[in-house]
Amino acid sequence: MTVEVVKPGLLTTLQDAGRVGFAHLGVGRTGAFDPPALRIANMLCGNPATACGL
Amino acid sequence: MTDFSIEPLAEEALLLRFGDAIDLAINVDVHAAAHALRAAALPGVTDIAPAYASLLVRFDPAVWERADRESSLPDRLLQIVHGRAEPAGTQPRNPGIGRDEQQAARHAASADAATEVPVCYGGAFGPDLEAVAAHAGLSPDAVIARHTAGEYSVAMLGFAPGFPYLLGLDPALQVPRRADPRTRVPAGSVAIGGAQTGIYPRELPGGWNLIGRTPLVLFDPERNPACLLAPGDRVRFRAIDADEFARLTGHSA
Repeated sequence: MTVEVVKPGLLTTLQDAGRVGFAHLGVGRTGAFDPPALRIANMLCGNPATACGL
Repeated sequence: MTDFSIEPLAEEALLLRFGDAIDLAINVDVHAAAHALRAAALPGVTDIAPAYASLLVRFDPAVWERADRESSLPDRLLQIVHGRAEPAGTQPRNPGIGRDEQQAARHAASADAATEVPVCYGGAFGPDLEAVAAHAGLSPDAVIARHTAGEYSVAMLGFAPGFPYLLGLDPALQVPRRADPRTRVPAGSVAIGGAQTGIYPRELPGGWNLIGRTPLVLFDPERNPACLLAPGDRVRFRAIDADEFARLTGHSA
């Protein structure tokens, strides 16, 4: 499968569901700013809930 | 146990505040509280992160409410930290604790072996050693001697994955941060900033004074555990020369 990026947008990043449970190691959660929105978007696309989003 | 307050940080986070100073006794209590809370395995609690004098508890409010509609999470935290819950399960990097968490944590802290961190001091590895010595009114060798004589503990990890903030710096070695920070500090750099001392796990910007470098890898996401040093661990430094540095480069212990 090939992917052609037609228009990348102003600042498109890949975001996953984040790293939960590592704050005590100095690892920030990062990932999607709005995790419920990522889950809903994935559901709408038929993806696993924690799939990476653009 | 030091008195502490509980304040909301966000809708999914609480902060237990034990004090406002860099102080070993307070930090021991922070770790005892963290251990008790971890062992309690409360539903919905996702992070328990110690700092010098405070403890972050992150949780999912929906999960907590589903599991327990009767008690508030702050009330449960108070109960557990004041020693009503017995630890369950095992924590590989932490000792078991008894009824008096503070006493047990201190006992365990002395019973646990310290992690020895080899450091090549000065020269290219410690470009600020001379400045630290001058500030302290000591020779560079005396600075090294005092630094390696110290007994340190990891107060917390933060700023970057695996970056340890260490308690136990000889007051004579305290030096203010540099007026002009570096945009790149080499990985493994051992540094002093004010009353704080730490080790940069990877190349990062930094304003602390670099006195040496360790060849050990402090953080490796492919390794288990990823962090060489865990909160509460004891640490000692050992001076090595450049040859031994080269031999030890990339090692975990």
